[in-house]
Amino acid sequence: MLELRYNPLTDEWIIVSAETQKRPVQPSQQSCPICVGGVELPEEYDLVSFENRFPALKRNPPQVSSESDIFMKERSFGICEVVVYTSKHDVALPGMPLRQIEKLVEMWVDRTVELFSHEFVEYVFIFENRGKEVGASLSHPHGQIYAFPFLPKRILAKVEAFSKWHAQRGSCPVCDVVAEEVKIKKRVVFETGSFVSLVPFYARFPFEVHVYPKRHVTSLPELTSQERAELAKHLKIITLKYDGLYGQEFPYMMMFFQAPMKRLDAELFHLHVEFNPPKRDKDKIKWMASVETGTWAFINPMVPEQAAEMLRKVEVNEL
Amino acid sequence: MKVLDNEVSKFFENPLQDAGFSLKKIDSKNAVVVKLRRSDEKPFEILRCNRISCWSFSERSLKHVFMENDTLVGFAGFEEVRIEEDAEQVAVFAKPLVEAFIVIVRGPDKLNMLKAFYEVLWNECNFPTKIPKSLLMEDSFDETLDRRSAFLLLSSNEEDEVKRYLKKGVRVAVKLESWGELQRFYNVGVRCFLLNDFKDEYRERYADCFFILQKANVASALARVDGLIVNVKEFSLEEIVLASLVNRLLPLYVSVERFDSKLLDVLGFGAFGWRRCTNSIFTRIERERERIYEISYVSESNVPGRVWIDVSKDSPEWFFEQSETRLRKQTVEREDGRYFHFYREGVS
Ligand SMILES: [Zn+2]
Ligand SMILES: [Zn+2]
Repeated sequence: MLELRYNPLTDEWIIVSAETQKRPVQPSQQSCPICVGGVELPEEYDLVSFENRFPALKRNPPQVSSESDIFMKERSFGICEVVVYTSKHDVALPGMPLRQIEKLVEMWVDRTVELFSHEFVEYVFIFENRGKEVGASLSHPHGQIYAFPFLPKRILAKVEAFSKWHAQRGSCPVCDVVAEEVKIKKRVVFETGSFVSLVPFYARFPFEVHVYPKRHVTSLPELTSQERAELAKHLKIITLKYDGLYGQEFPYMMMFFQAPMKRLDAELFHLHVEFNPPKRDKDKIKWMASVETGTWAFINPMVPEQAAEMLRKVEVNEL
Repeated sequence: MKVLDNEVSKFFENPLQDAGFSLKKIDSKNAVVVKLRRSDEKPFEILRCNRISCWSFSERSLKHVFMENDTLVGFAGFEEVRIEEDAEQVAVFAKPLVEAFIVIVRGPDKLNMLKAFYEVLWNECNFPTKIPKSLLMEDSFDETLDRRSAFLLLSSNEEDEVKRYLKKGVRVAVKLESWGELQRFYNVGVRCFLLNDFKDEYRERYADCFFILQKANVASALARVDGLIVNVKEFSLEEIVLASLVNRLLPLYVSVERFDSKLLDVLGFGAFGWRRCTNSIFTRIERERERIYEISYVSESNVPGRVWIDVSKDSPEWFFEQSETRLRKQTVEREDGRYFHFYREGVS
């Protein structure tokens, strides 16, 4: 079954995709489906983005009809892609050469442009789940892209927040935050000419890091080649610092927030990357439990300024 | 300016109560939406303003937005739109379609008021966003490139000719002379039509079709059809920039005559007789200062670029970024229909 169902209690669409239940678990490297020669990628490659074998959203979804005017359904239009960062199985983002991450950024740019060009696509969401703590089932370095036919709830919340800030102050919240943070420095983890990585004042997770372009851009394609290279560097530095924090592979969710380009208020949005790592300590996980899931309210057990200091202190010398 | 026989300022003060319409204030945009429903009456006066101080588009089909000083009045969802002008005043008469809107916006400049106007139509009135498709002429059509992304507009309505292209998998567009032809060409497999007149009931009957109107105004075409052909010959450079704001809601199809096709492309106009290249949803227009607009866009090779438009000068000034993207893409379709996009170093 593949369909969208409307939830009138929260005014949102739920993707029912019974096929994702059959997702395979890959126990060993021999059977890695995305290594060269694997079931998905028999040919040689450098980077590749391909449509998921078990997609939650499809370019040609089955026809549906609502059960009634209360139980409403829509077709599951969309595209779900698996983004393979490199043909090397045993590295991860922090261990990849900077040049490879730069190419990855270029690939994300092209995917963003192409996916938004589909009539049915309202939002393009690029993300990576790293580590079994956040449900990654495959250790080969890869991420995913969901091209949604609707605006997901948290994205809508962001769009509305940008719009509200703009109406009240005539400016952009990220632009304002960046201007302040680079002055006071205490939450900054890494800074270059056109980007700043920081533990936000409003962090929800203990070691949450946001990567903000200093210039007001709404999406990845608008970044200049210099800025794209700097973004690659920030992704490498932040993930290296994460791994260095406890001397172990640090699980995270990495998420790109671009403007919903087809909305007329898209230009108010400011592109940013969020790292949401679930770890609160070397062996402790901060789970998404009732409060977080049910209310979207977060209790952060870590003082953001302290997390920033810890991450700043982690020395990385691989560049 | 008077809207429905009331001074516009009244709409922002005490809530006006009238059986004929409903009002909604949108504080964040400094705007008011007046919603009207279909009536069996004759067209009535919806707007009256001073001819000297009022600004509107030179092209008649775009005359659905009027600005005077710090106020904009725009409307959508009307039919039988009639504009009467004398030496002193301009008056607009029209009749609501199923649901019609008059939006009043206040603000410091034309660009921002227009942006707010279209945002309100999009957000409050649920006018859907549209992305134009190219309408190519036979001589500019490249079958290998254009099958998915464009329609081929045939010069003749010869049924055999139409069938010949359809058989090759080409998406064909035809100009209709009468409604009878619609059903005939639909049965053959044509899904894109250029027409002079549109009836709402056809939207439902031909839900999978793409309709482009040739002779209509924006006020009656918004949210009903998929595109509108306009003549930009009379447009000033500033009008071109401002008219492009309509494009997200209703693609305006223009042919390249006086204007640089690159500029029309970047601004997201529907290509009529030439090929679209850029990804115009990434285009942003900003007003730098009085009469100077900066347009940032993403080129067909995914590189950001900028155009400066000084409306007092004749031609736009282009700024390109030096470097090109360094990846080459190859897309492969697997047997199960899934697309695989391979990226390698090297300029394509
Ligand atoms: Zn592998
Ligand atoms: Zn900003």
